[in-house]
Amino acid sequence: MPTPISNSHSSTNFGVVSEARENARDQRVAASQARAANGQTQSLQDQSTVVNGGSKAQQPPAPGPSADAQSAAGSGSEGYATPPQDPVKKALEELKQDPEYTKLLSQIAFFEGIERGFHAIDAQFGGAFWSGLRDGKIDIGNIEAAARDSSSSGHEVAKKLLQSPELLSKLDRNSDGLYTKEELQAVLDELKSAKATMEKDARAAASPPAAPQAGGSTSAPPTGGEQTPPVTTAPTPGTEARNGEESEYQFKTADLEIRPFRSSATGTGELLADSMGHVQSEIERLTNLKAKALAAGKPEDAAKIDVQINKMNMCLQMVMSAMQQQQTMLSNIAKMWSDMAMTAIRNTH
Amino acid sequence: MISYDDIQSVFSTSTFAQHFGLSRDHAREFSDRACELLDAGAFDEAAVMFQGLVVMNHKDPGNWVSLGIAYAEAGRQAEARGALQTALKLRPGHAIAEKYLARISVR
Repeated sequence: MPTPISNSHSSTNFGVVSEARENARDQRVAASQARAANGQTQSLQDQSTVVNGGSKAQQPPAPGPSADAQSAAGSGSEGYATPPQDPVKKALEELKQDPEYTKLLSQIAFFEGIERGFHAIDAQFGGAFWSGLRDGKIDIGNIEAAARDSSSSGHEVAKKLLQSPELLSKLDRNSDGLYTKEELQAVLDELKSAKATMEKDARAAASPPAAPQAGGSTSAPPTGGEQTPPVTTAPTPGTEARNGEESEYQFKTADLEIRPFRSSATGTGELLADSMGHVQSEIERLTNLKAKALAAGKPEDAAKIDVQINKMNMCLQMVMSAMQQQQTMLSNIAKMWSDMAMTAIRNTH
Repeated sequence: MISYDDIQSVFSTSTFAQHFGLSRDHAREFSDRACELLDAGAFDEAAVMFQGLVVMNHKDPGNWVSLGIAYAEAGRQAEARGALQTALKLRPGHAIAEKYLARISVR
């Protein structure tokens, strides 16, 4: 569920909302005056409240148009581009499905749990526990004996340890005694090293081969992972026709389709700007093709091309207008902050 | 108003978003701005942004619903009906589309 506008915390949105609220107040006043003057009906939102007989005291207000639009917009499951995934990141994600790797992860988690237990016990007994283990590899039998023998130096430690059978069971290596701090660390190091090796191998397999060194050569293509398509556009028969004025006129239905394009930009604004540039160049391509069709005495082809040019122009205009609208919003916010700063400066003089 | 078929004929089997590498997050960023305008009562301005959004992904019924809501709030009933009906063609039974179509019919 998207965050309601009024709860937005980003600094940009804060400005937008402030501006929007200011606009809204002005518009609502204007709308109210217009209704009074023209006897107009209430807005759809107001109407709904009346139809439902709802009041704020009795039931929560129905979601407004903004909330409905926000929950609807961009909710579809198809039609959006999947962001290109870093091949190394992808390989590491896949590694998490490898049984050998997951076993290593769970072993590391297990022994880290034991290590934390050791630290807790050691802190409780001022280091006596560690030293006991180091000196004689205390086993459970020793602990039980020490707990019974009040003259033993480990008596208090042993009694406390026996109160924690869960920890003891984790520390016990069957009849072999308990792990010392060093042994435990060695086990953990070995497991972590095996994990790091598996990750390193996965990274190496996913990374493209290194660039050829001076004097060397490589012909191996990059392997593994998704490759981002190049920014350049693929030639089509239409392109070829455009490139050579002397070339013969040819027309295929495929020429009407917009040619492939992928921008290297990542930001929404940059992506849209690049997209607009490409649509514009496609309109130019079709306009040239239309001229060739007319010159070749093919008015029926020219008519088809013209229809497509109009549709592309409509798409272009709609996205451009939307971008301009967004820009206007941002400019208004900037102006609002600038005005506020100027007012503050004036007030200090 | 631009139709689903008009946009489809330009981008063939894909969408503007797929063609130019726009993700759902990019679209969300855009729709959030449009919703702020809607929240502010700037319905025509919001409609302009939602028009851009339906061009970006005409296969997303939610984008048509949002456009329909903006049109409806702006008092542009015929255009609202068209946008909401397109949404229902894409996803029959879309609850928000049905809700706003019903409201338009009441008026």
